[in-house]
Amino acid sequence: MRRSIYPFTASFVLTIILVGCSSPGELSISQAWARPATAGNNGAVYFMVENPTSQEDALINVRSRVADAAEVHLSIVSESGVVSMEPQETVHFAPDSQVEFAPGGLHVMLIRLNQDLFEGDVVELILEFERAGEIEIMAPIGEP
Amino acid sequence: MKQRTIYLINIAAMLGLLIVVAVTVFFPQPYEYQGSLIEPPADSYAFALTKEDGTTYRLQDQQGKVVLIFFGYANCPDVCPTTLSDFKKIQGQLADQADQVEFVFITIDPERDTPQDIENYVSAFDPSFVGLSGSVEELQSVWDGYFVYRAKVESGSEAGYLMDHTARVYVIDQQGNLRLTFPFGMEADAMAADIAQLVDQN
Repeated sequence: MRRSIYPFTASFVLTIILVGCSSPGELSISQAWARPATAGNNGAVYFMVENPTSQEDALINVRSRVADAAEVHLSIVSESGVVSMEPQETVHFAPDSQVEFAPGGLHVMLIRLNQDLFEGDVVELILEFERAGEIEIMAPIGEP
Repeated sequence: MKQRTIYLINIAAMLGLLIVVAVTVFFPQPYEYQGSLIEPPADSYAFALTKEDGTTYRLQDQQGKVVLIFFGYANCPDVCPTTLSDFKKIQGQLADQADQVEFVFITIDPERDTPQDIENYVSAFDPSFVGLSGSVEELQSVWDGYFVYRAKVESGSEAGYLMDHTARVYVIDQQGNLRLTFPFGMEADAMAADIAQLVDQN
């Protein structure tokens, strides 16, 4: 069975278009990646949010076709070494700021994956911001 | 007279330097562990849990190897995969020493994690990693034995309940003693260096 190259090409072209669309001065997402994971389990997506504008923005919703649900969570490690995860309704981005979603901190949790996330593939994720609106990202699967 | 004093000072300085060099060369500084060293080494809790294939995994059978243990759960998307990914990096860095090291993941959520679930979860990172579950009663003694904190949290997440849990890596030496712990977030390189040192000691 031959694996179609079409989805990959389409996503690549889309990434180029999306990257091309974001002009300097707008809220943007970069350095996205997703952890490899298996269908039925949960996944995580990480990225950098840059808000170079003079106004505060907020991430109010996330969704992805690869999972039953997607939520923003924050992992917190206490001084005694206990980790807890807290779902975040919204994440605020101050004017002229950068916020990193990274292991052990903020991340998008993909709940009950409906497909395996293989290293080398990409995950499509839609991030909805209060001001910037919807931003679609293609997160390569695998640690950078 | 003055010249003689300077001459003597020079000789003394050179001798001093020679001694410093000799001490450094012949008595190297002891390795400094980057994780939290347990001194003197403590007895580790010798658990036995049934694997997904029905065989029993006993910690005491691993004597002669260094064993890394992490407690987590299969629904955990961030901290647990990050640690398992670190295990994979450590294994890679140890290269030919890696066969003297065991990587073990024990669930703190047996209500959801069957032995099969845990095995699938960890083997996705490396087939040699050991994933263990069991009954709450069996596991309670293991959690207690390593002072592992765990608590169920109803968070309103679509994922169901979440678990708060201790996120340290426990390191058992070749004699079966608890020798080191690594806090979450410690660089994989630093953990690998400590493990390589433990392996080298024997």
